[in-house]
Parts: sequence; structure tokens; C-alpha cells
Amino acid sequence: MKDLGQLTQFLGLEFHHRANGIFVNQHKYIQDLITMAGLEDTYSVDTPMEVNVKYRKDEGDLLDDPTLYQRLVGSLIYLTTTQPDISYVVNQVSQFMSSPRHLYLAAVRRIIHYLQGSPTRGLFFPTNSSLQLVAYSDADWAGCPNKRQSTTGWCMFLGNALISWRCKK
Amino acid sequence: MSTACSKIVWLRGLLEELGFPQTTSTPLHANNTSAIQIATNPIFHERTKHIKVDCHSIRDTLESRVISLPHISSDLQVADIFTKAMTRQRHQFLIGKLLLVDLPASI
Repeated sequence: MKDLGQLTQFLGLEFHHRANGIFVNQHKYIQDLITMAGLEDTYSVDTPMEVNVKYRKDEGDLLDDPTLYQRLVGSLIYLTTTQPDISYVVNQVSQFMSSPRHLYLAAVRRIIHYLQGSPTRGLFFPTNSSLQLVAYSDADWAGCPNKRQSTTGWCMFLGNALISWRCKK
Repeated sequence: MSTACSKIVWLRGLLEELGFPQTTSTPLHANNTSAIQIATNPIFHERTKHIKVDCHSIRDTLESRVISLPHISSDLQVADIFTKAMTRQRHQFLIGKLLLVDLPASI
């Protein structure tokens, strides 16, 4: 068996080894996604989702071709590996995979505009972090406008580093 | 809260297997006082519906001191980012907490 040295790339994740820790991002993946959406050289926004907007089922017109929506959302789901900040909105838009509408596609475009503002962003795992597990959990009480289901979110830190999180309806 | 709880139990097992046993109970921060009280109080809550296995499993892990349930103010609740849309300032603040950083050009 051959030693290939330090890990630099794995399934689209890019690893950067530094003296004070390891940094993981998906820079190239984000750029490919922006190209797929056809949104190169456009503006960027500060947050991935508008506040006080709830996406309801069967609102607006159906998309003629659902495949682009499905591909974009599929890519975004993989992107949450290093971008936990978009997991909530990705969870929201992925609920409409079977019948995508124009309104939801606009939300997906906004996420991509948000990513455009910080394509090199990623998770940092500092070396000097403690090994104490700390967890946070939160729920929006029956936030879904269609079925009144709740969305639960939790995240766990080992010292300062985020190691596990989930956003689930 | 129950999924988080089972994940904690799993992660503690994994960390112990890797040689980093957790000596103290893991704090699971929540900003819902009622949820904390229902989990902490063993008395049957007559007015609480939908108590299922989930709740009892949380109580069990709490009693065996695997987890603790400290209350956290909503301002510092990091898990907010996974359950709601928020303003720019709050979003930036929470991103910092998650150690989500931009790769500086120099490194």
C-alpha cells in the first residue's frame, strides 16, 4: 500500500492543514453549483433566507421542467456537509422536490446568491480545542404551515469545534 | 430534543471507544423551559399530551447523569440557526459561533 500523504481532497471536500487546525470547505463544488444554476457574476446577499416567510404547499405555478430544481436542491443537500448555516433553508426547499414551483425556485436562487458572497467559507477544527462534548437543541413549535409539524434542530460541539448537527422536520 | 439526546449517547460511546471518555454529563442546552421541566420532573403531567417513549428515554439519560439540561437564553441559543430564518446580524453572530470562517487568501 502506498502512503499518499496528507489528505487534501475527498469527494469534493477540500482539506487545508494549518498549524492551528484543519479547515474544510467545498470551494470548487460551490463554483460548479453557481455555474449549474447559471448565476455567475451576479449579486450576493447576506442571509440565505428571507425572514418571516413560510413556504406553503401548492403555492404559485408549477415549473415546466422540475429537473433543474431537483438537481440544484440535491447539490445543496450535499453542500450542507461544510455549510451548516444553510441547512434550515435547504430542509425547507427540499420538501417540495416532487412538485417544484416558481416560488420555491426563487428561494433556491437566493441560497445560491448567498453562497456567492462567501464561496471559500468552511468549517474550522482548531487543534487546541478541548474534548468536552456540549450540545444545543431547539425546536420551532409547529412551524410548518401545512401540517403543523415541528422542525427540530440540534448541534454538538467537541470543545469549540462543531462536529455534528441536524435539522429535521 | 429526543433525537439530540440519543445522538449524545451515541457520540459519548464513540468518543470513549476512541479513547476520550467524557467524565462529566454532557450539557444539552435548550431555551424551552417547559420542555426542561417535563423532562426533569418525574411527576406525571396530566395536561401534557403526546408523552411517548421519547420523553421517558430523555428522563432516563438525565437521571443516569449522562446529560444535563441547562437553560440557555434565546440570544445564545446556537441551534436557532437550524430552526428559523434570521436577520443579518444574528446570522453573522451564529456563523462565528459555529466556527464557520472564510479561508483567508494567505493560508
